Amino acid sequence: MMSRNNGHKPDITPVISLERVSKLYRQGHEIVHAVNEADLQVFPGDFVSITGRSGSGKTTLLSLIGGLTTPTAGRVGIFGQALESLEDVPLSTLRASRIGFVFQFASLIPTLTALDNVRLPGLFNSAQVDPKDAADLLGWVGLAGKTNSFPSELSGGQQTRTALARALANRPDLLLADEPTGNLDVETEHEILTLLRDLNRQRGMTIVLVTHNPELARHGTRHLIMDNGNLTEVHSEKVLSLG
Amino acid sequence: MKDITLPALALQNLRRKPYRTVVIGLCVAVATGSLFAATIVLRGVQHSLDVGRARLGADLVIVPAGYEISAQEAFITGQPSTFYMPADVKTDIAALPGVQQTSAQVFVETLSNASCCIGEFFLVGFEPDTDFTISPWLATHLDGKGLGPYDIIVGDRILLREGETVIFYGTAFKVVGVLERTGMGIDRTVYVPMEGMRRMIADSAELAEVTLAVAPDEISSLLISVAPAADVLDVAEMIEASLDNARVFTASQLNQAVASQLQGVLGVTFGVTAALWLMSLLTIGLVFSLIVNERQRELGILRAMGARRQAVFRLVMGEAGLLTGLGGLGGLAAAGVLLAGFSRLIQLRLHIPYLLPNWIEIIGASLLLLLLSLLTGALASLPPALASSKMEPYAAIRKGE
Amino acid sequence: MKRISASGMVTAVLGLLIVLTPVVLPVCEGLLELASGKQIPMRCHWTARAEMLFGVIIMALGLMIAFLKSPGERRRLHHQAAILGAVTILTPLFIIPTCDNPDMACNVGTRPALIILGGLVLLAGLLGSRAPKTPPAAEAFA
Ligand SMILES: Nc1ncnc2c1ncn2[C@@H]1O[C@H](COP(=O)(O)OP(=O)(O)OP(=O)(O)O)[C@@H](O)[C@H]1O
Ligand SMILES: [Mg+2]
Repeated sequence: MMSRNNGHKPDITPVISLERVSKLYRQGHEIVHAVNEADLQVFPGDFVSITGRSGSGKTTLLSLIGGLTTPTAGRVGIFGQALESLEDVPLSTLRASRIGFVFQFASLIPTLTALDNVRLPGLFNSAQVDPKDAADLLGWVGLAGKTNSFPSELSGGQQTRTALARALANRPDLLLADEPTGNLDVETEHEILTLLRDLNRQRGMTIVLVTHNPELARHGTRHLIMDNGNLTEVHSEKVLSLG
Repeated sequence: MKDITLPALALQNLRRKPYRTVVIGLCVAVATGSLFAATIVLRGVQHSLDVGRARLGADLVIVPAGYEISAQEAFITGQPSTFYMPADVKTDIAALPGVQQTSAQVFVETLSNASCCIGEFFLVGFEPDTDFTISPWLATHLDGKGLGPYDIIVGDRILLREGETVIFYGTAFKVVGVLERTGMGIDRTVYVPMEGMRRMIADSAELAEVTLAVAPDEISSLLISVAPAADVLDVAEMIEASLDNARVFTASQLNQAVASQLQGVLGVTFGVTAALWLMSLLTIGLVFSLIVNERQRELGILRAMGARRQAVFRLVMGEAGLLTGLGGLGGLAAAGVLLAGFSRLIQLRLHIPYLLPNWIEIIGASLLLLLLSLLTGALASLPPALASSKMEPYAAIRKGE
Repeated sequence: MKRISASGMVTAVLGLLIVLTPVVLPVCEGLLELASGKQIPMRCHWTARAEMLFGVIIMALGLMIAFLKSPGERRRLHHQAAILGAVTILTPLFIIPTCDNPDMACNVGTRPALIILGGLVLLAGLLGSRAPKTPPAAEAFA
């Protein structure tokens, strides 16, 4: 596994490729460079951690990768396809079948139980999510007893974990997780990260994880830092040896 | 376990705001229901008029001048009314070209009866030899037996059954037939052979508390059938010219009073309904743009999960359609129940004839109105649905924050 | 089950409407003269009286349902309300029938109104008496 991301072999199609991608926002007279000419190639099996200060552009970057927003400049490629060339239907199909999102904020549908929230992605995929699989996923994130609870009956951390279970429901090839451990205690946080690492190692799931906590970044195989819209990769022996 | 579907999701959304859902649903229900009721009443009246006109059998009716309105009421709504004119009109008219047959009638009103279950009756004396209003019916129902002077035929709304005896003004009559329901005045009419009628009038001085002041040579109306080759209006004009103190109506003119009365009532109803509809449309449009706005993030999240633009569009439209569809269905059901329960009350209060339209018409009207309520929802939610499906997912998600 | 029960409030309002029905849509007003010369009210007068009484009871039941806490108690009262709803329907039809002439006030107005309202009470009682949705936790073990 390690060899894949070490080699950066040109014959392997990158899961994500960013070429001088920028996203600008106009705030009054000011122009904010939320993401500034980012270059990145993520390969199958990579576990990329992104850290950076608040407002540095991490969420914007994830949204660009998932095609939830279009770049002001540059090219975004996903699973070998140029995002700009993708129409709504193929892009949606791609999201439904191959990408899982975990948002930074509460993102559960309030009218559905935890279990149904996890089953929801099946609605947009060719196959419904088996309720048993959904229950297993909830058990996996430590919420076995909460399947019939509504989001309003869950704690913030439980909601985030449900959202993680939901992101995994369609067995995605790529997981984009924005602070999935933001509300969690140290112990639960550790459990979740172990879980992600297992997914990455055992199933070869490609993961991009945004976190405030530099400690967590060590769980990944690669570490990037976002600073004021500028994306740079940290090449440190420590990261590799720990991963 | 049930599958998660877009309609199920839409239904959950409606349940989330029960108050709002109920208010909008009621709005649509009232609009749909009143339109349905107005339509059914209108059709019911027309149906009743058609049946009644066919039953009347006459092409033209002559009544004394000054009693035009009473006559219309008598024929259409069965409001007992009495008016008389000399019988010699008959001989003048019968000689006119184009007149095929004439038959006189005499109207008498029964005394208001204090006993619980018998109200006022409208007695119509008819000439069995020339009559073409109920004689055709008699021919098929009396098995060729002759009609005695005291044998009467009653409308469906008179609570007398065949074989029963009833006393009017001291004279006993025997019921020999009950007419089928028309929804018109005929239903509350008692048909008495002219001979029996004349005798009853004559005997009333002796046998009844009140003496009927009808001279033997007076009639109330003269029914005329026009020869098939002749033009009804031409004949009517000719008769009109020959009459001094009487007026002639065509069968359709008889319906005029009812029609104009209805136009007033229904005009208001349709006007109010239209206004209500427009308001519902605007309200639903407004509310759905609010709903869509407050759910922007949710819709964005659905997009991130792989929902296509079309799915978001369908979700919003589906929610509106479900709401207005259920509202419409509720309104139809409520209007149906109220109409079934109170049609008689409406009929009596508005003085209109009414007969339930046939089921095909009722079902057709229901389906059409249901479609209309669904269209209302679709139309009102189209702009917000389009807007939300066009929104960039990330912007939608941020907007809801 | 802390909330005021909606079906209880609906039942109470329906009860009130039943009480008001003979006021808004009065039964026949005339008096009957017996052979003895005594004046007595028509039969439908008593129908109205009985129905007003049922209306009051239904109203009371509805209020009790609305403010009672115990689900079991609520269900029992819902059943009672449903039975009274049925009685409200049956009274003008069979128990104390209204007058015979279908065109009289009691038959064109009062009776259909009472039947419709009785039907709604019956419906509210039946729907309300169905077991309240079990909370998620209990359902998981069911
Ligand atoms: N829709 C927008 N309109 C204007 N400015 C925006 C918009 N979205 C993001 N920004 C700006 O872009 C910058 C990056 O925002 P982003 O949400 O990507 O930061 P972040 O790294 O995820 O921060 P945090 O760690 O607090 O979540 C911020 O300065 C923000 O104000
Ligand atoms: Mg962020």
